[in-house]
Amino acid sequence: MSRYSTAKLMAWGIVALAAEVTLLETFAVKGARPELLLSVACFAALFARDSQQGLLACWGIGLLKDAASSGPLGLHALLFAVAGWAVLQVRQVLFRESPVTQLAVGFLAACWVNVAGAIFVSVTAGGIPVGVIVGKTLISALLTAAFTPALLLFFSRVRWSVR
Amino acid sequence: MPPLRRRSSLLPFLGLSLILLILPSPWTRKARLAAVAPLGLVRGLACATRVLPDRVLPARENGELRTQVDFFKDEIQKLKNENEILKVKLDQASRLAQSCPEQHFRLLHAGVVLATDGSPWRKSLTLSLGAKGGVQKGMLVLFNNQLVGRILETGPWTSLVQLVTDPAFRAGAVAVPRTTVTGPEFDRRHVGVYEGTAGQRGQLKWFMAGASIDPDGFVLTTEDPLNGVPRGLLLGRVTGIVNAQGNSPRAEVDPTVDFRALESVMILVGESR
Repeated sequence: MSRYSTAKLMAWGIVALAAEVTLLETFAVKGARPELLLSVACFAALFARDSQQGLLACWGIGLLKDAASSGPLGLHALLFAVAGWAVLQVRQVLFRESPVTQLAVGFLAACWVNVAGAIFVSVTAGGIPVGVIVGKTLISALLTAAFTPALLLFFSRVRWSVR
Repeated sequence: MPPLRRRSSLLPFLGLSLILLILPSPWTRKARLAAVAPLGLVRGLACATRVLPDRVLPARENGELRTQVDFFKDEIQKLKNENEILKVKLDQASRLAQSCPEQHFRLLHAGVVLATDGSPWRKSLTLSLGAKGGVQKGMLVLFNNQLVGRILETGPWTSLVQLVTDPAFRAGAVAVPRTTVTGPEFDRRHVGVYEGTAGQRGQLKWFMAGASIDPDGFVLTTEDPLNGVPRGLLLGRVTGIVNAQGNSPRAEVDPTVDFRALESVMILVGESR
């Protein structure tokens, strides 16, 4: 798996968004749920044809997440783009087909997006207790890490759906 | 020949994101509300699939009679459902009337399209009633006498509710004991500020350190005519007190309703509106 169509991946992003705000809400633990859109963005960064495609896909997927949020537009687009950029910088030295790599990338990306998002919301909307930030970030990152290899396995098995 | 590796800069994406972030949220919220509304169909579809097998695979024998029986069963079910909805509406209205006997309100009934927010740090609901149904920004949303939140944005057919657990939600509130014979008593000296935490509960802050708060008590709104908040609406149950002996005690407040499980709510329309 080394190529995908950005348009098809965005369509999968819409499906992931629908799943995230409806079905995956039932998997929520202490209010933290798996970030399926971030898993799609991890796939976008790990298997992009080039940096341009990877960044564009991550940014677009982040923008999709912003569409379903009551916060400002562009926040998740920014955070996803930065996460994608970081993955693109180190992917030369990563064995991206390994589930362990995918799990680690999903976990770290979820930690970054959650912590940075929480700090932004704390500054602009109102303080979030540190305990809530730490707890939700860790649970959400673990759930996202668990979903990421499964999603990437799905994309590699059903290649026609993203190519 | 391997594909040409293009290096791309993060800066254009950062710039675009910052421009979007700088834009006032209300400018984009209406469009986002309209874009997200179809996701409610997924929720509806999930509910519909529960009854699908009965509809798709009817028995073949005595076809005509069975169809008639099914039709009448459907009619009975429809009437039962209607009856249940009316009961819920009546129950909600009467509970609210008990909580705020001196207030006069009109209530709008709205279904919940989406019970969650895209961001893990924001808490919102999308309702199936918008500006065309009489919903306006700032109106309060209730389930029985539990305050669910405040209308943040309205589209023509949908509206966005900021939940009481959202970190940007704030309201004047007071803690009252669990049971009182004469109803809740409001001690003005013990009034604090309730705010959401982005978690599953909120917190009551800025009340006097000496105020005695019943650990099993309730937190109710205090009157705020400017924002159209009547006194006596339930914000939640006190589940613990943090820093009780210090200068800035905080009471943890657990809403009595799981907002993710809500299927319908009432919107409070004040008489002055």
